[in-house]
Order: sequence, then structure tokens, then C-alpha cells
Amino acid sequence: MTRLATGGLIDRMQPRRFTFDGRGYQGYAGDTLASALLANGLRLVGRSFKYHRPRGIWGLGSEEPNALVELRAGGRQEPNTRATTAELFEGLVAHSQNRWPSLRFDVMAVNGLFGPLLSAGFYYKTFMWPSSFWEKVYEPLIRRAAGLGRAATAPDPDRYERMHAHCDVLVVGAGPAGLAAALAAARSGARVILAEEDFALGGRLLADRQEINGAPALDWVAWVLAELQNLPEVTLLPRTTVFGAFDHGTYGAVQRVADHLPEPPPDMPRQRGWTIVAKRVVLAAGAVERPIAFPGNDRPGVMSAAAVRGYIHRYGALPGRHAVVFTAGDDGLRTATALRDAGAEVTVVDPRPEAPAMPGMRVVAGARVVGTRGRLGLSAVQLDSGERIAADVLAVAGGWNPTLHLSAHQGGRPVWDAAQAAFLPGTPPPGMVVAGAAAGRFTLAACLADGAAAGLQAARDAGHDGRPLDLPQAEDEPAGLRALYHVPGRKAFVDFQHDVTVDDIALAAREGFRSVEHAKRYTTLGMATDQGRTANVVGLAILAEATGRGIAETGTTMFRPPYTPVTIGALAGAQTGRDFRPVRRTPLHAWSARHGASFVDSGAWQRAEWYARPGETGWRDSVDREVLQVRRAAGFCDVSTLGKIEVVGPDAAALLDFVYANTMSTLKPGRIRYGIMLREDGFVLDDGTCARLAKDRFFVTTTTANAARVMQHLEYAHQVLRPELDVAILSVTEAWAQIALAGPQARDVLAQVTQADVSNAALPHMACLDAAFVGGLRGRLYRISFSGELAYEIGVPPEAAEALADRLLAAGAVPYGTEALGVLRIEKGHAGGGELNGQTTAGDLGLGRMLSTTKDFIGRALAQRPALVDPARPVLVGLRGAGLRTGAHLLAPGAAAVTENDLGHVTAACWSPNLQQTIGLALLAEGRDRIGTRIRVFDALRGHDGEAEVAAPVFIDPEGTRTRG
Amino acid sequence: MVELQPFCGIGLTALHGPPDLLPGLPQRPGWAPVAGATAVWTAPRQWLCFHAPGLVLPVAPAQRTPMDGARSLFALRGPLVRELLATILPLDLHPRAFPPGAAAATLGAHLPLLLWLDGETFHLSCARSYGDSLAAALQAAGRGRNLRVRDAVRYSPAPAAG
Amino acid sequence: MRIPCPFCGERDAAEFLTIGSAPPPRPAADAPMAAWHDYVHLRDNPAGLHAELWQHIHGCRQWLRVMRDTRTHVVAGAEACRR
Repeated sequence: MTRLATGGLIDRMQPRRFTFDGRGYQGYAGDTLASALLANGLRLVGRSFKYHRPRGIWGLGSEEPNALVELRAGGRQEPNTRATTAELFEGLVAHSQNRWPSLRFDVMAVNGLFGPLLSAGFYYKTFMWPSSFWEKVYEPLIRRAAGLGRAATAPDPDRYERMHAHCDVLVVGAGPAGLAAALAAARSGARVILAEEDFALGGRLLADRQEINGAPALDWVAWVLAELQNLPEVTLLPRTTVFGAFDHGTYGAVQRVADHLPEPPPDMPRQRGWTIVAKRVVLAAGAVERPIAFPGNDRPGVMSAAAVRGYIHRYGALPGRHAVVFTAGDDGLRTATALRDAGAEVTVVDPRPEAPAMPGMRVVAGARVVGTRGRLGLSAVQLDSGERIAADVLAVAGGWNPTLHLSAHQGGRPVWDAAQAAFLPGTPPPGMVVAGAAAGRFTLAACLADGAAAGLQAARDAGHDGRPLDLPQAEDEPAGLRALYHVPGRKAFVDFQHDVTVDDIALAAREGFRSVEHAKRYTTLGMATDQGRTANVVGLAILAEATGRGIAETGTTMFRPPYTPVTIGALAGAQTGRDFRPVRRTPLHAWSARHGASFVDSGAWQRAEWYARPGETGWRDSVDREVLQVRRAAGFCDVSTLGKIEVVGPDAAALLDFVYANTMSTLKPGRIRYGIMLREDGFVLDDGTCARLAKDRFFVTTTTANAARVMQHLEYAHQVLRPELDVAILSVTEAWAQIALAGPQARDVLAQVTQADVSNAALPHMACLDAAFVGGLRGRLYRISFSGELAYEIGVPPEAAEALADRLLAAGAVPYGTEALGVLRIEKGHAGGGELNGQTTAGDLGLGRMLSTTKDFIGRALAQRPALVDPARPVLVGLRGAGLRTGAHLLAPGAAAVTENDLGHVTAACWSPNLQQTIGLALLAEGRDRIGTRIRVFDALRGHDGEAEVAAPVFIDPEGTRTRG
Repeated sequence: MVELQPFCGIGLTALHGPPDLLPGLPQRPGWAPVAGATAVWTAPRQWLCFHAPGLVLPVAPAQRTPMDGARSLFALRGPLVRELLATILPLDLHPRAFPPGAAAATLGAHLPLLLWLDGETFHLSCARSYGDSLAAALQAAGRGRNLRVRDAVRYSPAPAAG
Repeated sequence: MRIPCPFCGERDAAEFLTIGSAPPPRPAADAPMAAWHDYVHLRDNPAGLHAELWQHIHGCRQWLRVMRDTRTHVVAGAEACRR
């Protein structure tokens, strides 16, 4: 536990101050928080999830299970950050997690005394009695105890960015295999992206003391990087984790652009989320050392042997001066040598009876570690011989697990290789090859050769021919491994993060959870933030033993993205807050805002719902006034959001006869017809008007909500069902600002803004014509009415909309919004969104006679199904009565409010200022027969239970005389 | 640096007819200067032409549909233009994959977009109603990339070669 | 997923709308009701290669017949419905 005087890749000229649990320490540029803590003599860094056992740093990288800290503060606070990957920056603030009041004295450690009661799956057997306790006692307690770190509660002050990239070869991992692959591919001229999760490139070469071509391996790394940096088609992405392999060569990655800085500079996002489309991928993500499960193996000071030598070589940090190395093969001996060379006293405990002698240290052959001692950190190691060795660091080498996750993200399960005692990649996704230690090549020479070959082949497959690399010299010694997964005894931890022990796995097997997927979920093995990186293989080896099967037969659980946790900001990019989705604004948006409009979201659109006048205190003031003004004088409404589609060509009429239930081919140019379209299953898709502008040009309108759906429907009907038709279908919603002008004075107003003859003779109801407007505007006039008054729709190009609105205002018409539009259409019983809900037929809406009997059209056949023509179906009626609300259910008066008695529901309701009462529309069983009777209106959700009178679904001007004058 | 030029007063006509409706119309995704307009392929036998407002293209009325003002349009250029666009668009914008003359319709920043490349200037268009959202997305994409936004000018298409 | 639009090239599935299995040919107008029921409501759901209909709504707006393997997502090809 000290900083060595020399050595390591840290920059001793750049000290970095940081605090941990409120106390100040110093490290150097190039340190991680973990290496700096070790160099400052701190071993105790956290408390475990369930038992609150003292925990220390285990590993070197993103696989770290124990050293989870709360990093930073305020809006940038991050829980569960691995100290082993947190780059040390000046002023870094970190806190240990999951302990109270302090790390050294944690009250919750009392959980450890209840160990036998808190074994795997205990919550399936407890917290059930008495049942009232669940809400009042158990759940609040569990909530307080659950979780590890605490998330920020202030908004995230940083910005994030998305990025898209395309390449020929994506290389994941910049260790020896990845660097060789990237170099081979790049030299062929391929577009290469090299992604590495660490902040320095080199992989294990940074942690070990290896030689390439007789010189330090890092010299070779520097030479490769210099060449890659100079090639224009190569993108180097350090600090970037490729977290998911998705279909068809799509990969997700997150680049930690500014995590290593106290604050992101203004020109940088905090992180960048990448979507990379790669023709070929070389997965060279290396391997991670496996622990051995033995009693007390979670005590601070017990560390991965490969990590121990990494801390010595890369960070100049010595984790302990009295070391025991417990190794299942030759690999751990490298750590023994590194410890000895750094000045530690070393004892090797090797289960192999033939364990080799090692100079400068004691070797205990044929022995195992069966326990550890120490209160808040290791003080002694217990062997099976009974000998107890004083020690402050125990380096454990249990073998290597290839980091093959990306190769398994699409279901290609790994394959057990008994000779290597490792899971090797199964069938990777198409286009990916695995190279180096990730593919089970555990010598440096094999990694270099494997990577070089994989990179060259990937480039060739992507269409770039190159030459093989001249392979450098490197060591090729296999590390004799005698697999050892666990030593019997209690409190032998397998999953450090979730406190899962060997006994828990054996318990799961005894209780019948024998499949690896069941055992995982029952014990929570592998379900923590580290997803079992160090736990899964040991865990399933124990499960295999407990169920009498081999490891190969037991298999692994499914691998899913993300490989490591991903910040949601990196997935959202800039589209957050108010910008999280785009908004659509009509050509009159700014004009409406200037005239007092309040806006409502209608899908992506913002629509004016009313126009407030000075003195009006609430929305009802404005809406009631607008409704009365339309029925008594004239009003105009922005209806630009409704879908507008031009259908053009010799077969335009034929297509429309096919999609409309009624006939359009008989419509004369200059005339308009109301139409309904059915879905092929016979239900109503949408309604709207169809204007014939010319023999071969029709102008179809749709409701706002169905505009996109109707467009797709027409395109489907043409391209898939009637491809022989010569017709073009064009969305023109955006090309026309559409304004409805309605009221008894509408014609007078219109005459003031257009030069066209708008007399009843020249422009009768349901006619249209091109028109010139005052100020040189050209547009179209349609005489149609949604409000039931004398009404027109005016279509002008969007840039002319404001000028037209100003002229309408000057001519005495007042603007009205969607609320008044809704009241007016309810008063007239015109179908809207509540009635066109996808579950109604033409007959339900009183439009059954529109269905042609002489032509084929979409929906014709299934509209005749018995259930769709059943006279008992709910049909459209009107309702009058106080308290009507949309969604309320209808029952016979006196009937119990149960589902069996449900007769229908209210589809629309409003206060009618014209009728001075609340009215509504509803779908009511036997509705036409019930007109004139009373009905019970039941709304349990909003606490209303009353009655209403059933009426015809037209409240004003049932003869429709106002529209025709 | 990226320079962003918004346009106003954009004339538009949709063309629909046989492949040889006008000489020079692209027959696959791409754009070409045709009859005083920038003609962008949008679908088999359909093109969207960007031009000065009021221009009437020399085809029969049944083969053209006026749509003046239906779209917003921006031009972008500069050393960081491809990097800026890559934060929004999922397309491969490498010069080999998207050379001058290329055009594509796609989805970016959650809204439908049309892109074409004229020399070293990209043109990016969306439906008019989405214009404010696209402008905001471009501002966000320009952060850290020295985005310079110019005042809007009236659109006029690139002249035909020769 | 990426769909190889024959007009626009390979694009992410987010640019498309799909209705799933490609329907059989539309029955004749006078076909019996059972044929219409099958046409609208019945589709095979194989574990393997099958034809699907996708529309490139944010691209060329063409309806495409796509051969896709439901187990592996491998796309064997795509052609325009209307040629």
C-alpha cells in the first residue's frame, strides 16, 4: 500500500488532488481513482449490497465488482462508478456507498449476523405476514435498504451529443490483437475505426512487462499509434466503449468525451453516443481474470493477481508489502515476480503438487487457501494445512475469461473449452470475427498474429486488398492452468456485487432452480451493475457441480447489451427537454401568438385552442364568445393541420373509387363530396372531403390525426393492390395554409377579400374554384362546412397566410380555435376523433347509406359481417344533461353499474352557449330507439353519476339550411 | 467552422410523369439542374423541384403540382460540415459514398429530411412546419463547431453547367 | 435492423413502417366471406425466412417486399411491390 519511488505510466510532474469520504489525498495524472487510493494506503472502499461487508478494490478495469463510489456532486453526481475506470482529475470528489454512518463503522453490517436468514431467494419466503405490514413496514424499509449508490436529484448541467459513423472495419479493443488488426486493415486503405474503453491504448501491454522484438512492448504500441494517427481514413476513439452489437453491422458505442475533466469545456459535450455501421468488425476486447471462491475471499486486500501486477507496472502503486499469491497456474507467478521486484515479501500458494520453485520467494506446493483474517482488511491468510500466514495482500489467479460479450449479443452462445478452462466465442453476428485473448489466444505472439490476420481479412471482405503484416517477435509460452473454481467452506463469495455465495448457488440447485437462467434469477448472480463479469463462470461451474453436469452442458445465461452501463444522455443526445421531439407549426402560428392564442399539442402539431381577448378571465370566456360569434356573425379558423393529398393522373378517379366507400368518379370538376374510407376489416378509417379540381386531379382532405395514416393507405392501395393504375399521390398538407371561414356573414366577409364571384349561384354549397385574393394572392376557394353555418375554406400558399388573416380580421371576422371548432361540430353531430376511433362502422355513425352497392372498395366485404351490421350495435346519438364528460359510460336508469349492463359511452361533450346547456355525442346501444328517453351517465373515475336525455345527434339546424344559403 | 445559410421564398413544384418528362431528370436518387430548377428525385417517376417562387415548369398541368412554400431549406458548408451533419443524419457522407450530385431522403433529429450535395455545399430541407425544430437541431449540432448563421436570403437554384 | 431499399440503398429500420407478413393476393370482390376473413386476419408466423411488407416512409415512400428470417433477422432481399 504505497507509491513506488519510480516506474509506472503516471506523470509524476502533474500531481492531482482529490477527496474520498471527505478527506484529501494526492495522486498523479495517469492514475485512476483506484490506483490513487491504493497508492495512498486505502484498502477499504465500500460495503457490500446485502451483508454490508467491508470491501476493497478487486480488479483493474471495467469489470470491477467492489470499488463502486459516488463520483462528483450536485447535478453531476454518479452512483456506482467504478473507481478502477474513473480517471483522476484535479479536485475529484468521491464518496463510498451503501454505509451509514461511515465506511469504517456501518450500522447495517448487522445484516451479516442474519446471514442464514438472508440467503438466496429469502424475499420469496418472507415479508408476507401480516399482509398489512407490506405497505406500512416492509416496503418502506426495503426501499431504504435497497440499492447501492444514490443518484443525483438536480438536473444534469451537461450536454450530450449523438454521432453516426460508417466504416469498413471496426476494431473493438486496442490491445496487441486490436492494434495489429487496425494496422493491417488501415494499411490496405480501408476506413477503420479503432475503439478502446481505456484512456490509454495498449490493453494488457500497459499492465504487464512484456517485450516485442526484444524491446519494451509499449515502444511497439507507440510506433503503431503514430502510423494510425497519420492515416486519413483511420478514426481513433479512446475512452469509447462499444456497448452493443445490433443487427446488420450496427453497433452502439459511448465516448466519454469529458468525463476525465472537472467540467466539460463549452465547446465539448460530456459524452457522445455513437451509432456505427461497420461492414466488418474485429472484436479484440481481451480477457479478464477469474477469481477463486474460498471462504473470506471478499476481504479488502484480496485482489486479482493480474490487477496487482497492473497496479505495480502501470501506476507504480504497491498494494501490499506482505503478499500471498494463490494461483491455479503459471500466470499468477508473473504477479509473484512483480511483487518481489517491487520489494514485497512473497509466498506462493499453488494447488499443483508439481508447482515450480521461484527465486526470492517461498512456494507452498499442493496447498489451497481456505480462509482469511482481518477486521476491515486482510491481516492473514489461512491454508488448508492449518498454517496461517500474515499478509496484507492476497493475489488470486483463477484463470481467464475471454471478453466475448459482443460476439454473443445476437444469441450466439459461447462454447466451453475444457482444455483452456474458458468459454470461447460461439457463432458471432454476421461480419464479426473475434481475435486475440477474446478468442482464447492467451500468448502475446498468438494475439499479434491473430489480430493481424483478422484485420487483413476484414479489410479484404470490405473490398480493400492489403498485404500481411510482418509479425514482430513476442513470447509464446502457454500458461499451464489447472482450473480451480472454489474451495469448500462458508462465506465463499461468487458474485461480490450481489453478495451471492457458493452456498446460495447450491441452495438454488437444491430448491429445483437447476437451469442456469433460473439459478441466475433465483440467486441474482450476475444481475448487478457488473453483470457478473467476474462471477458468472465461477457461479455456473459451481452450479454444474451441484447438479452433476459438466460446465459445457450447464451453459451460460443470455448476453444482452449494454456491455457496461450507458448514460441515458448519450442515447438522447441533444433532443432533450423541450426539444425531445420536434414540433410542427402552422403558417399562422406566429400570427395566432400575436393575437392572443393559447396553444395545445395535437400530435406533433401546435394548434391554437382559443384566442384570448383582454378582459377574458378564463378559457370558457373566450370559447363561448368565439362559438357565438361564428353562429351570429363570422369567424375564421386555422385548419392547416388537416391532411391534404392531391391524387393526379388518368386513373385518379379509379383509385378514389377503390379507397372511398362512396363514389368519387361521378363527381364533376369544380364540385366537392364528403367521403368516408374504410379499413379492409370494414371499420371506418377516416372521413373528409374530396374536391375534384380537374378531370384528373382530386384534392382529398383527412383529419389531422389520420393524415399520415391515410397517405400510407392510399400508397398501399396503389402500389400493392392496384399497381396498374396510372396515378400520382402527393401530400400537399404543407403547401397550403387552409382557413375555414364560417357564419351568417361569411359571404360578406369573403367578398371583401376576393375578386371571385362568391354568390350562391357562382359558388354553391360543395363547390370549389381557383380564386385571386386582394393583394395579388392566388389560392383556392372551397364551399364546405364543418360548423354547420354558411362556410368556406380558403387555401393559400403558406407565405400568404398572414396577409389573408389580417384582411379577414379587417373585414370583421374573428379568429376561433380548436375548442370552439369542437363545440360547433358537436352541436351539429359531425364525427370527430372520439367517434372515428377505429372501432366504429359507417352504420354506427349514421352513414351506412354511403356505402356503395355497385362497386368494389376497400372494406366492402368485411363491413357486411354480421357483427358489424348487428342492429344492437351502439350508434351515434346526442345527449343533453349536466355533468356530461367524454368517456363516461351509459346504463339504463336503475341498472347496476357493472360491465354487463354497459350500453355505450360518451364520445364528446361540451357546454353549448347556443343552447345554454351541456350537450354531448355518444355511442349508445339501440340508440335510435332510445331517443327521447333518459339514460344513466356513470363516470366512476371522476365521481359523476347522473342522468341525461337521449336526443338526435344534431342540436342546431337539423335541416341543414344554413349551409346552403 | 460551418456556415449555415437559411432560405426564404422557396418555390416548389412536384413533378410526376414518365422518366423523360424533362431532359436531365435524375432516374435514381440524386439531383440535377433542370429547366431553371433544382430537380431532386423523390420516388420512381416523381421529382421535387426547388426554384424561384412562381416559376412554371414546362410540362402539362397534369404532370406538375404546385407546392410553393411547403418546405424549409438550409445550405451548409465548411471544414466541419460533414461532422456536424453526422450528429443529425444516419447517412454515410464520405465523399466516396455521397459525392456531388447525390441526394437522399432520410430521418434525422426525429424528423424527415432531404439532403443533397452541390459541390461542397450541402442542402438540407424539411417540411415547412418542422422548420423551427430543424433550425434548433442545427444550432445544437453546431455547438463546438463554430457555427455561423447568416441572415435568410431568397432561394435561387444552382445554374446548369455549360 | 437495416433494410436494403432497392432505390435508396441500405437504411436503418427507423425509416420504415412494416405491416409484417406479406398478405396473400386480395380476394375477388365476390369471394366468400371466409376468404376475406383469411385475407385480413390470418398470417403464417414461421420461424425462418418469410416475405414481409415494409414501406420506406422516410425515404422514397415505396412499398417493398422484403425476405427476412425471423430467427436471425438476416434479410435475403427486397424488391419494390410496384415496378
